[in-house]
Amino acid sequence: MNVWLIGATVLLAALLPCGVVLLREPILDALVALELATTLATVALLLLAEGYHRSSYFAVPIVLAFLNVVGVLIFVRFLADRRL
Amino acid sequence: MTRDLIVDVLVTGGVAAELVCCLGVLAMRSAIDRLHYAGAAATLGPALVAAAVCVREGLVSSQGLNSLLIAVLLAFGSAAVAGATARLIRFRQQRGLESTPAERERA
Repeated sequence: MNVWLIGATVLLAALLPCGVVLLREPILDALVALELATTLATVALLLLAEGYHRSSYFAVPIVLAFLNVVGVLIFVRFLADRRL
Repeated sequence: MTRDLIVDVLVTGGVAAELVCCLGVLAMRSAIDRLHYAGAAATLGPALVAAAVCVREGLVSSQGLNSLLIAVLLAFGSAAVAGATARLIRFRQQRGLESTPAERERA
Protein backbone atom coordinates (compact mmCIF):
# COMPACT_ATOMS: atom_id res chain seq x y z
CA MET A 1 0.00 0.00 0.00
CA ASN A 2 1.58 3.28 -1.12
CA VAL A 3 0.44 6.89 -1.00
CA TRP A 4 -1.21 6.61 -4.42
CA LEU A 5 -3.43 3.71 -3.43
CA ILE A 6 -4.26 5.31 -0.08
CA GLY A 7 -5.28 8.50 -1.90
CA ALA A 8 -7.42 6.51 -4.34
CA THR A 9 -9.16 4.76 -1.44
CA VAL A 10 -9.86 8.08 0.28
CA LEU A 11 -11.31 9.52 -2.93
CA LEU A 12 -13.52 6.47 -3.42
CA ALA A 13 -14.81 6.98 0.13
CA ALA A 14 -15.46 10.64 -0.78
CA LEU A 15 -18.01 9.44 -3.32
CA LEU A 16 -20.39 8.71 -0.42
CA PRO A 17 -21.18 12.40 0.34
CA CYS A 18 -21.83 12.90 -3.38
CA GLY A 19 -24.25 9.98 -3.25
CA VAL A 20 -26.04 11.58 -0.29
CA VAL A 21 -26.51 14.83 -2.24
CA LEU A 22 -27.57 12.88 -5.34
CA LEU A 23 -30.29 11.01 -3.46
CA ARG A 24 -31.61 13.67 -1.10
CA GLU A 25 -31.36 17.06 -2.83
CA PRO A 26 -33.27 18.61 -5.80
CA ILE A 27 -32.31 17.64 -9.30
CA LEU A 28 -30.05 20.64 -10.06
CA ASP A 29 -28.04 20.01 -6.89
CA ALA A 30 -27.87 16.35 -7.85
CA LEU A 31 -26.46 17.32 -11.25
CA VAL A 32 -23.68 19.29 -9.55
CA ALA A 33 -22.98 16.33 -7.27
CA LEU A 34 -22.79 14.09 -10.34
CA GLU A 35 -20.16 16.39 -11.86
CA LEU A 36 -18.12 16.20 -8.68
CA ALA A 37 -18.50 12.43 -8.46
CA THR A 38 -17.17 12.01 -12.01
CA THR A 39 -14.20 14.24 -11.20
CA LEU A 40 -13.47 12.26 -8.05
CA ALA A 41 -13.67 8.98 -9.96
CA THR A 42 -11.30 10.31 -12.64
CA VAL A 43 -8.69 11.39 -10.09
CA ALA A 44 -9.08 8.10 -8.20
CA LEU A 45 -8.46 6.15 -11.43
CA LEU A 46 -5.42 8.34 -12.13
CA LEU A 47 -4.06 7.55 -8.66
CA LEU A 48 -4.73 3.83 -9.14
CA ALA A 49 -2.96 3.80 -12.50
CA GLU A 50 0.13 5.42 -10.99
CA GLY A 51 -0.13 3.32 -7.83
CA TYR A 52 -0.05 0.08 -9.80
CA HIS A 53 2.58 1.57 -12.12
CA ARG A 54 0.84 0.46 -15.32
CA SER A 55 0.91 3.04 -18.10
CA SER A 56 -1.91 1.29 -19.97
CA TYR A 57 -4.28 1.99 -17.08
CA PHE A 58 -4.04 5.73 -17.83
CA ALA A 59 -6.39 5.29 -20.79
CA VAL A 60 -9.37 4.82 -18.45
CA PRO A 61 -9.22 8.22 -16.66
CA ILE A 62 -8.53 9.96 -19.98
CA VAL A 63 -11.71 8.52 -21.47
CA LEU A 64 -13.67 9.29 -18.30
CA ALA A 65 -12.45 12.91 -18.25
CA PHE A 66 -13.69 13.31 -21.81
CA LEU A 67 -17.01 11.56 -21.17
CA ASN A 68 -17.58 13.75 -18.11
CA VAL A 69 -18.07 16.76 -20.36
CA VAL A 70 -20.28 14.93 -22.85
CA GLY A 71 -22.42 13.26 -20.20
CA VAL A 72 -23.11 16.38 -18.15
CA LEU A 73 -23.89 18.45 -21.25
CA ILE A 74 -26.46 15.82 -22.27
CA PHE A 75 -28.05 16.06 -18.81
CA VAL A 76 -28.08 19.87 -19.07
CA ARG A 77 -29.74 19.66 -22.48
CA PHE A 78 -32.53 17.38 -21.32
CA LEU A 79 -33.07 19.15 -18.00
CA ALA A 80 -33.50 22.44 -19.86
CA ASP A 81 -36.49 20.95 -21.68
CA ARG A 82 -38.00 19.38 -18.60
CA ARG A 83 -40.82 21.28 -16.87
CA LEU A 84 -40.37 22.18 -13.20
CA MET B 1 14.36 10.72 -0.85
CA THR B 2 13.52 14.39 -1.41
CA ARG B 3 11.63 13.46 -4.54
CA ASP B 4 9.54 10.93 -2.61
CA LEU B 5 8.73 13.59 -0.02
CA ILE B 6 7.62 16.04 -2.73
CA VAL B 7 5.46 13.35 -4.32
CA ASP B 8 3.85 12.52 -0.99
CA VAL B 9 3.12 16.18 -0.27
CA LEU B 10 1.63 16.75 -3.74
CA VAL B 11 -0.57 13.65 -3.61
CA THR B 12 -1.75 14.46 -0.08
CA GLY B 13 -2.49 18.05 -1.10
CA GLY B 14 -4.44 16.91 -4.16
CA VAL B 15 -6.52 14.43 -2.20
CA ALA B 16 -7.11 16.98 0.58
CA ALA B 17 -8.29 19.54 -1.98
CA GLU B 18 -10.75 17.02 -3.38
CA LEU B 19 -12.01 16.21 0.12
CA VAL B 20 -12.55 19.89 0.96
CA CYS B 21 -14.52 20.37 -2.25
CA CYS B 22 -16.55 17.27 -1.48
CA LEU B 23 -17.41 18.58 1.98
CA GLY B 24 -18.26 21.95 0.44
CA VAL B 25 -20.75 20.34 -1.93
CA LEU B 26 -22.27 18.49 1.01
CA ALA B 27 -22.46 21.57 3.26
CA MET B 28 -23.69 24.25 0.87
CA ARG B 29 -27.41 24.86 0.48
CA SER B 30 -27.88 26.21 -3.06
CA ALA B 31 -26.90 24.64 -6.38
CA ILE B 32 -24.82 27.66 -7.43
CA ASP B 33 -22.78 27.50 -4.21
CA ARG B 34 -22.25 23.78 -4.75
CA LEU B 35 -21.15 24.45 -8.33
CA HIS B 36 -18.23 26.57 -7.08
CA TYR B 37 -16.87 23.63 -5.11
CA ALA B 38 -17.43 21.19 -7.98
CA GLY B 39 -15.47 23.48 -10.28
CA ALA B 40 -12.62 23.82 -7.81
CA ALA B 41 -12.44 20.03 -7.48
CA ALA B 42 -11.75 19.73 -11.21
CA THR B 43 -8.84 22.18 -11.22
CA LEU B 44 -6.72 22.16 -8.07
CA GLY B 45 -6.80 18.48 -7.10
CA PRO B 46 -6.07 16.97 -10.54
CA ALA B 47 -3.32 19.56 -11.12
CA LEU B 48 -1.55 18.59 -7.89
CA VAL B 49 -1.87 14.87 -8.63
CA ALA B 50 -0.60 15.39 -12.18
CA ALA B 51 2.34 17.35 -10.78
CA ALA B 52 3.08 14.46 -8.44
CA VAL B 53 3.06 11.99 -11.35
CA CYS B 54 5.39 14.28 -13.33
CA VAL B 55 7.79 14.58 -10.39
CA ARG B 56 7.89 10.81 -9.97
CA GLU B 57 8.01 9.72 -13.62
CA GLY B 58 9.41 12.80 -15.34
CA LEU B 59 7.55 15.28 -17.51
CA VAL B 60 8.45 13.63 -20.81
CA SER B 61 7.13 10.16 -20.09
CA SER B 62 3.99 8.29 -20.94
CA GLN B 63 2.59 8.60 -17.43
CA GLY B 64 3.55 12.26 -17.06
CA LEU B 65 2.02 13.33 -20.37
CA ASN B 66 -1.11 11.26 -19.75
CA SER B 67 -1.62 12.79 -16.31
CA LEU B 68 -1.13 16.29 -17.72
CA LEU B 69 -3.69 15.54 -20.43
CA ILE B 70 -6.16 14.40 -17.79
CA ALA B 71 -5.62 17.53 -15.69
CA VAL B 72 -6.09 19.79 -18.72
CA LEU B 73 -9.17 17.87 -19.89
CA LEU B 74 -10.73 18.13 -16.45
CA ALA B 75 -9.92 21.83 -16.05
CA PHE B 76 -11.22 22.98 -19.44
CA GLY B 77 -14.09 20.50 -19.51
CA SER B 78 -15.17 21.57 -16.05
CA ALA B 79 -15.19 25.22 -17.11
CA ALA B 80 -17.50 24.44 -20.05
CA VAL B 81 -19.73 22.23 -17.96
CA ALA B 82 -19.92 24.72 -15.07
CA GLY B 83 -20.97 27.49 -17.47
CA ALA B 84 -23.72 25.35 -18.98
CA THR B 85 -24.90 24.16 -15.56
CA ALA B 86 -24.95 27.71 -14.15
CA ARG B 87 -27.06 28.87 -17.10
CA LEU B 88 -29.45 25.99 -16.52
CA ILE B 89 -29.73 26.75 -12.80
CA ARG B 90 -30.36 30.43 -13.51
CA PHE B 91 -32.90 29.64 -16.20
CA ARG B 92 -34.89 27.27 -14.00
CA GLN B 93 -34.79 29.45 -10.91
CA GLN B 94 -35.56 32.82 -12.57
CA ARG B 95 -37.48 31.56 -15.64
CA GLY B 96 -34.98 33.40 -17.82
CA LEU B 97 -31.40 34.64 -18.05
CA GLU B 98 -32.11 38.35 -17.70
CA SER B 99 -31.14 40.13 -14.49
CA THR B 100 -33.91 41.09 -12.09
CA PRO B 101 -34.63 44.76 -11.20
CA ALA B 102 -33.09 44.22 -7.76
CA GLU B 103 -29.89 42.87 -9.34
CA ARG B 104 -29.73 45.79 -11.78
CA GLU B 105 -30.09 48.19 -8.88
CA ARG B 106 -27.25 46.51 -7.00
CA ALA B 107 -24.97 46.66 -10.06
